[in-house]
Amino acid sequence: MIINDPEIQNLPEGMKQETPFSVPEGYFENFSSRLMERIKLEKKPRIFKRTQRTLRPALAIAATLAALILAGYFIIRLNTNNGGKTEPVQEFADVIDYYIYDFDDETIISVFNDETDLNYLNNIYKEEEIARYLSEDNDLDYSELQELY
Amino acid sequence: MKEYTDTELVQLFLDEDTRNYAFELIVKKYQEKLYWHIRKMMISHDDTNDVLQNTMINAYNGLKNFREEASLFTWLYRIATNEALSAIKRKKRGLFLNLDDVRSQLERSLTEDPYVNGDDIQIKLQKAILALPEKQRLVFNMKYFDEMKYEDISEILKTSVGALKASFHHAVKKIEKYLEED
Repeated sequence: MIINDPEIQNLPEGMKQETPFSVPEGYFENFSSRLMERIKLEKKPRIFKRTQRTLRPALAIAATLAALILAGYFIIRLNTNNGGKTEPVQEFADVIDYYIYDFDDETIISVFNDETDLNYLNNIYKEEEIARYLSEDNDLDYSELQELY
Repeated sequence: MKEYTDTELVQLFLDEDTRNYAFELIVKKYQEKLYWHIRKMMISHDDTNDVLQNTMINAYNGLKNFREEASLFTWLYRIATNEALSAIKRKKRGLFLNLDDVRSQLERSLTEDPYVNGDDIQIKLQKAILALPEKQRLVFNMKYFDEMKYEDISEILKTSVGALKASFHHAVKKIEKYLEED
């Protein structure tokens, strides 16, 4: 136990610092030689699991089909919708928002700033500063914020 | 066998004639520490083995450009951490799982993996740790099991000491709550 750490002292008594994990016999003795064999065989090796290898082509095909269907749908909508101009524009904006671009913080802040005229948004904060501010001042969990970020 | 310092090992690695010899020595020196660090994230031995291999292969490919601003161990630890987090992300993406599914899968490994054989208290603590978000899990494991200094964790995870302390505090609170409720 880390006796001097008050946080750890709060954990229930009998809690051990040991893990329940073990390794196959001889695993560490043979690991380096197996790895060196692999390095010799592969110039720049990549290790993928079987499931991922199987799924990758299927996912690529599915993504391509989805993109084609989406593009086709909007082309048809654009050609058939003669009435208003705002609806397709809005739809495109939605698609861009949700499917295509990941805007960075600065873009979002500057757009929001233009829209709302709020001066305090002129400051450019780093991700970590924003997360820490939220965590410290609002009793939110810093690492969860980072994860959600 | 002569014990080389990390700086000597890197120098040996940079010489093509001794590259593989030096790398094997590096692997032997750090494989166990890295394995246990990864294992606490991946739970299953097979997944850990995959991640450890990827870590070492990435290290082999990147060591030529290694700058000794960080220690070799810190650098390797960082690669291992990133590899483990990427492997968990790939699990989510590849199998279309959400966070809870991944957690269930990792929890299942606690009972199904042939190389998990601790007592009830150890398993219970692991389940409580699995309920934490990934970065909190990392911080808790590095502090509680590996007894690392916040300054070292900070260098590996590229996170401020203050943020790490907050993470660890939240992790302990959540584990306490989990254990009280369970």
